Amino acid sequence: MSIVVVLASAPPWEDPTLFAQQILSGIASGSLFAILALAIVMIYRSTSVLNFGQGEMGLFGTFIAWSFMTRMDFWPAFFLAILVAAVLGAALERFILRPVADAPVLNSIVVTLGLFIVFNGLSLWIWGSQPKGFGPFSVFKGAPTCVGDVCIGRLSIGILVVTLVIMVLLYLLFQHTRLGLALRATAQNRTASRLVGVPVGNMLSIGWGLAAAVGAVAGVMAAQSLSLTTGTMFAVLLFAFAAAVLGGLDSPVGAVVGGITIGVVKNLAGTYVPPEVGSVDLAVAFLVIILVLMVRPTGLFGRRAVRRV
Amino acid sequence: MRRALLQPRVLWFSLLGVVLIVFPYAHGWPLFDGSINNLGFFTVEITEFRTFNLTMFGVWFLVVMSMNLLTGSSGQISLGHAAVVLVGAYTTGILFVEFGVPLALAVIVAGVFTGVVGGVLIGLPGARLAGPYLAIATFSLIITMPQILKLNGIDSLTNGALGIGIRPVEAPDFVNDVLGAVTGGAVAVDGRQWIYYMTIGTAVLMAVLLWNLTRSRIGRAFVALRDSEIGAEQMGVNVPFYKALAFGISSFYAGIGGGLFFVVQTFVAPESLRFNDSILFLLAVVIGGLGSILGSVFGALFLAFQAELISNLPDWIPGLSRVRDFERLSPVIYGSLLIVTILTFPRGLAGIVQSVRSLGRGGRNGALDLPLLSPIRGALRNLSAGLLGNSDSDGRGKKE
Repeated sequence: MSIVVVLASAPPWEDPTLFAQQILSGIASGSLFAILALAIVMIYRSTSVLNFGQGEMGLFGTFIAWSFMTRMDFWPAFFLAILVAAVLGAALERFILRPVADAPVLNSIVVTLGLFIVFNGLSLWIWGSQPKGFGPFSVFKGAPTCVGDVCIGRLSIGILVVTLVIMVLLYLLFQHTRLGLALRATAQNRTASRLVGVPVGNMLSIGWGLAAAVGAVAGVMAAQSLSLTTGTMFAVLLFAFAAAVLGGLDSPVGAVVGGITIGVVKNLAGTYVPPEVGSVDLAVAFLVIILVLMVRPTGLFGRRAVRRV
Repeated sequence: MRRALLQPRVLWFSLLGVVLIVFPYAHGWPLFDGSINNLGFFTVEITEFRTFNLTMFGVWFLVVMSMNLLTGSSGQISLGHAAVVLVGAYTTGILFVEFGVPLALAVIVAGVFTGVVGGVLIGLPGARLAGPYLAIATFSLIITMPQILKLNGIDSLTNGALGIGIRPVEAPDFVNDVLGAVTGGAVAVDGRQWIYYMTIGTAVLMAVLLWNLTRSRIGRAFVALRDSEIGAEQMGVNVPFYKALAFGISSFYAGIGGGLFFVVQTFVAPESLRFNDSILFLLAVVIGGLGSILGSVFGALFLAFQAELISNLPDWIPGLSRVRDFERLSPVIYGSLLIVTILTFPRGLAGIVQSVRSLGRGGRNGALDLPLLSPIRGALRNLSAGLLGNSDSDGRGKKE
């Protein structure tokens, strides 16, 4: 019995341009997943909390940016919304997450699921279910850049650049400032940090604030490339989780590598899986998550957690 | 010492049984038709719709028990239970529509099938995963489920996005023949009442089975797993096996629940149950009470009546009617309820009931140490810790 593989498009060796095009746009959409995955990983690393609400918190921030934009330009609205998101994130940590910090894992997951539906519901209640026109704005709009037949949109380049900027900023913050040192110390060993005088509670709040800000950036970029509705972040969150799991839940580098890989794989599946099968983009993320968890639960870059009983 | 047969408990259960049996007929009785103020302060009116309400309660009871066994007893987290229920519903539908299997048998086969699938395909691989990872895996399952059901390879069975529908169930003739012969034609069962009895009967039967299971060797192994995996391993519990078994039994309950969901609703589509429903199931388990059958009853009552409760709130609380689009706020209310419950009463309503009962018996300790108060005290301490920046934990939770 022979297995006949029917491809939707010409195979890569016959149409290398299409292949290159798909890889490129995969990298661009993947960096979107990478930003959100980065936010999830930052929180998981420092507090062992898996924030299911990350996507919806970002969405809420994006809606806030949308509201600001009725009064001002894109950039001020963007940075104001990020600021609001950061303050909100820090406040959530202090008043809602801290009480479950030492409770079983179930409790903290339940709380973040609560955040998921609260922020999704609030967005729906305040801004309604109609899709909002959202960008692309400012530098992100314009004609695509082409090299030969392979083109990349301005927004895609923008998302890539934003991802790089976030990575560099986070790297500088964590590796080259006192605050970053304190944040890393808190993530590594809370008791020891407290003993050497690190204000651990404040560090945890700052960590959540930072992650919420990064999540809001992810939301703004996602809304520009998809659209702004209350359902925008559902699929992005799934892909971001796939990215984080693939890279390793506690590895920021892994989140970015995982995000870009997921973006490329998703795009290639969309191109080469025949349309007769149906749409498979979510199923790809699902498969990646299941495969990674079965073969190597720590992901590509994660460390194996060894706990003392 | 022999126990008296007529304990209060036996009496209460018999009374509950009688109420459940006569309930589908109560809407015809003058006492409950809304014309008399039968409770003095509040008029209880039973309409025919209530039979359907209670039937759905039976379905949700099975689903909540399933969640509760998994999360409350064995400590594993599933955000994908809506997907598991959906598999049960689809299996029932496909068996009935495509293969002509009798509906009752189809529900049972669907339960077993879902149980095996859940145990082998999710439970076994899941047994290796720690809490957050299992949550991610099951989260991705429920998000992907509609897409899987719509895949073209299997849409000849699942009917793609259109879903599967059937005509409402009628009571079998022999039942009405027998009833007619016994009562002289005074009592007959219509389709709605028949499906009510079947659902409630199944739910009660499976609750009794679960009650026994949690008190068996298997149930104790689950609890040992939940409290400390390493401890359980040291005691000789085969951790992966029991984790998968918990998932399998839980999926069996969810599958039966899903099958009955399909029969009661007479329809299932890829988006009949979504991620939000999974969260609602979790909410039901948490506010009902983790790891207790009484908690599952509360949780199922919540699921059966939540929509009505939310839409009636503005009538009861004066200020709310001025709130714009109040019904759209329901996810916000549920989410807040979820967070507040887990922060203040991690043992849910059932925990409160237990505390009140032990309070009635005089309690073990002094008045200040009543178990009812400790979660409140804990919450206050947490709140003040949050406000004052003192991050000491109250030691309520366990750390491995």
